[in-house]
Amino acid sequence: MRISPRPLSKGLLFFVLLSFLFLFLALLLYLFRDTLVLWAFQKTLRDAGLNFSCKALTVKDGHFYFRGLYLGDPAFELWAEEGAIYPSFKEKGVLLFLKNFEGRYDLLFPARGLTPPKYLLALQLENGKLLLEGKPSYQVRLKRLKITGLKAFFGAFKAKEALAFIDKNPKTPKTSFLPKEKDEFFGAVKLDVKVDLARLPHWLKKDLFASKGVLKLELFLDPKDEGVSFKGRASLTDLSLDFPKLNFSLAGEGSFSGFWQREKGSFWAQGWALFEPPVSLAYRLEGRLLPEALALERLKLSLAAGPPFFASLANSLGAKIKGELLGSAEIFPQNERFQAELVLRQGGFALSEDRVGEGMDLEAKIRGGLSKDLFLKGEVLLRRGEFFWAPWYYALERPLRFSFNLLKKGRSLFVSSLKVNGPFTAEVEGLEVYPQWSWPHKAALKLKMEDFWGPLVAEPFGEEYPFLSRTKLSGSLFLRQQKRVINAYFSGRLGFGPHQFEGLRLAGAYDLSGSCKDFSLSWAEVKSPVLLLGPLELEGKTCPPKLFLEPFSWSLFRGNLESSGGAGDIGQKTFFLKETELKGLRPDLPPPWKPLSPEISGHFTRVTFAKGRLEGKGLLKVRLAGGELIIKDFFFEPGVLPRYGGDITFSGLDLTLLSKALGFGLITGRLRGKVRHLVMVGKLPASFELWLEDDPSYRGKRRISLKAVRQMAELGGGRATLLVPFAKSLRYQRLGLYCRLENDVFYLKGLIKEGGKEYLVKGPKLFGVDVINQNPGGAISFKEMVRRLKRVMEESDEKEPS
Amino acid sequence: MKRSHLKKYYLVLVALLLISCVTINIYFPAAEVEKAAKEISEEVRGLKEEKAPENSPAPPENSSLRLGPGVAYAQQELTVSNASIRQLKARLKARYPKLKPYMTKGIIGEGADGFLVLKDPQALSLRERAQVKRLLEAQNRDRAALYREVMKALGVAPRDLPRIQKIFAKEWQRTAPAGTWVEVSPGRWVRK
Repeated sequence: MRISPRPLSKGLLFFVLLSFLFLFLALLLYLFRDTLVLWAFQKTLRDAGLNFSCKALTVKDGHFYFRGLYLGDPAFELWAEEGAIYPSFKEKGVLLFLKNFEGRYDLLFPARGLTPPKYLLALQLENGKLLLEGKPSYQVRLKRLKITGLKAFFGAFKAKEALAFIDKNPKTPKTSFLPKEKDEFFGAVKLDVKVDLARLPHWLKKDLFASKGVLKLELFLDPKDEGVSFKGRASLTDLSLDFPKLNFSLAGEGSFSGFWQREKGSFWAQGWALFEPPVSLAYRLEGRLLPEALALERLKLSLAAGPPFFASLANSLGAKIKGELLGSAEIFPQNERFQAELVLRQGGFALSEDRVGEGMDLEAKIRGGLSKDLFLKGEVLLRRGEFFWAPWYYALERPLRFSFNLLKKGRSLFVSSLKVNGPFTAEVEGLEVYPQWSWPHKAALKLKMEDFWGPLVAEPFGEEYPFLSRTKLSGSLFLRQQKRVINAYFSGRLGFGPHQFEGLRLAGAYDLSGSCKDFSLSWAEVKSPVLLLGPLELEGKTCPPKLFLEPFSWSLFRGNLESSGGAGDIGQKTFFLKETELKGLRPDLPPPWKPLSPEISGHFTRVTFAKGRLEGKGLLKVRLAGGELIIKDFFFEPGVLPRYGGDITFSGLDLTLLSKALGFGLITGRLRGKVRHLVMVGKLPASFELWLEDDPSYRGKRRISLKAVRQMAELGGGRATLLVPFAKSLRYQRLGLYCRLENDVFYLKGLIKEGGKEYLVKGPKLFGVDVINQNPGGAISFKEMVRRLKRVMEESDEKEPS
Repeated sequence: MKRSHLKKYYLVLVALLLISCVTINIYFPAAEVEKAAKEISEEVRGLKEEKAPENSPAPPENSSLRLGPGVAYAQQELTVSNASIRQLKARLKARYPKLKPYMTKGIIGEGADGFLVLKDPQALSLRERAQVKRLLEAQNRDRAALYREVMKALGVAPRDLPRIQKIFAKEWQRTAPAGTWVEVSPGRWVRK
């Protein structure tokens, strides 16, 4: 028996083949799904006008993940290392994620303008840069950017077409994704921006004077038909400003709001901010924002800062400052100009313990230009203030007004004009103040000396030089400088205690370039109870650094001084007078010296001042008490403890007159002697050698009163008990003593040596007096000598012995 | 032989030790400076009037006058002094009454280096601060001149000037009025 298979039906075979084909196709679709999806996606985007390509594509859960992505259209191109696209069928758009990207966007492309793709619902970017090509172009570097709600934002703009994701068929009704009625879309777009100033490019940081800081900006955009409202908050932390010689930290926060008008592109924004250290700031910006440009037209600022702000600023400056500051400013960038007003109350500074200002009330109004060559003009009114700049102290009692014009040329800053009015007036023109100071082209200063003598001279230096405290200078001082020549004019009077120098005038010029200019110094009259000084006129020339004095004569003390003139070196502080002659000076001495009636004459070949010492080559003759004193080799060293001295020779002095004037007790006769190497410090002798003896040519009576004897004994340290009844005076034959002061020790000895004894006074054998030095070579201290002299001077005068 | 060599070595060693142990004495007249400082500070502060020295025995009395100072009291007067020192002392003394109120209030202190210090300038108005600063600086300038004069008068080397200042500082601090800040050691202040 044979079995033969039943033949399959044709239908079943067809079904099997079809199934196999379907499976095969499904397998193919599965294997090439990515390619198909990519093709479909590409086509969709191409239909939308976008070119798309990528190196790798993964599709997972309906999301597309790309590697090596390219997107572009005529106005836009984007390359990204990684990317993802999350289509949203519900929202009819895509969310785009890109990482490590680079792109460009042509702002000027005619068909595009500012309108981005409508299908873009949200955008997240990480690490990339975008070039916005326009006029000007902007390159944006992004670390991380996330923008959501874009569809609503873009949808608020009138759009003529919207992307239909599924189908773009002009015949089928378009699906409009535009919102019908727009209500308040406040916060439709929210931007969170964080800028780390430390990571900004160097060129931008330099212009901002900021080395670090973090700016966080929260911006809410509310698009309307006519424009965009915006508001937001900004915070600044850890901002560090670097100005020359100032390192300042600032932090703050504030809020702002504004509106951008679409048609004209104009906008305004206003807000306030509070900073730490405490400064409050209110501002308003106005301008235009257009695709091709951003133009700021007006910026108005108001600020207020108090003591805590200045205390913090002081830490950065390294100096203490304080005050309350109110300020306002308006800047017009388009016109490149600005104006500002500042009010400072109770301001003060302390650069150091010795440089302090306090109680300053100041108002300033400034306006200027912002062009390359800065122009600044303004007025500052300093109403009051106290200033201590050791050793000077000055309290401003009348307001001081400054009017100035400042100019910037290149890197230099010039004061083109400065005027000061107040307790003094001053004008300056053409003064460079930065980067270095220079001589002004012109300057002038006018003041009243009586307002400034005390604060500038007498008060600061009077403790060291007490005579200054007794000196008063009053009158007008006018100083004028033009290029390198300084002219000075003074007219007034000088008072020193009871002495007044009236009609004092000084006129002269000093040319810093070295050429010679005239000067003159004179006074018309001297009013004084004791100084008999006549008018004086000195004329000369200044030839920097030298000074030349013309010959002059001067009436004083009923006599005359004549000089052939002199010369000096101002830099070396040296000066000399040539031939100088004194004739017939007769000063009035106060009692009890009046009877001495001195008459002074002298002749000096040269009087020199050098190395802080005045010396005279010549001699001075003084006729007094019937005799003569000759002083030579005198010197004078001014200073806190002035030193002066010289050598003195005297002869023929009437002892009666002298002893009367000294209150020493009467001695008759004539005196001669010398003083060598006399040095006085202030009013006290520091050293000298003295020889005193009677004049042997004297033929008159030689008598010494008992009082004088006792006083001599007192001076010598001994005691005298004289048993001479009915006698008021005793005779003497010779008188001679030597004393020396050295290192504050007195050495005293007699000059008359007889019979092995040393006599200070040698009398006749009968009814005379001997004063013997019992301790030759002995010494006493200066202090002890002064005590003895005091005791001696306390006794009253006696009459001349008979 | 060996012993004699050893002895020589020991002798040389002792000699070397002696040579290296030479002590150099530099004379500083501390006692004179202390005496001068005591006297000057007391006089400036007005704490002591000048005393007249004791009188030497009286010479025999007759019509001839015996004259001669005793050497004894001349010597007791010989503290360091000269015209400059006297002048400076007078200036310091004249200025002291103006400074004293600020010392008692603790505004001016006595430093360890012999100079006055402005301790609390903030307690003064600016005008007063200027006045006090000028007084203080003038006083310090005169003190500096005084120390130099004492140095010269006693023949002290300039390198020892700080020692003179320290000695004077102790005396200024001792005689300072109650309430004055004194610097007992550098940087350490105590109020009297």
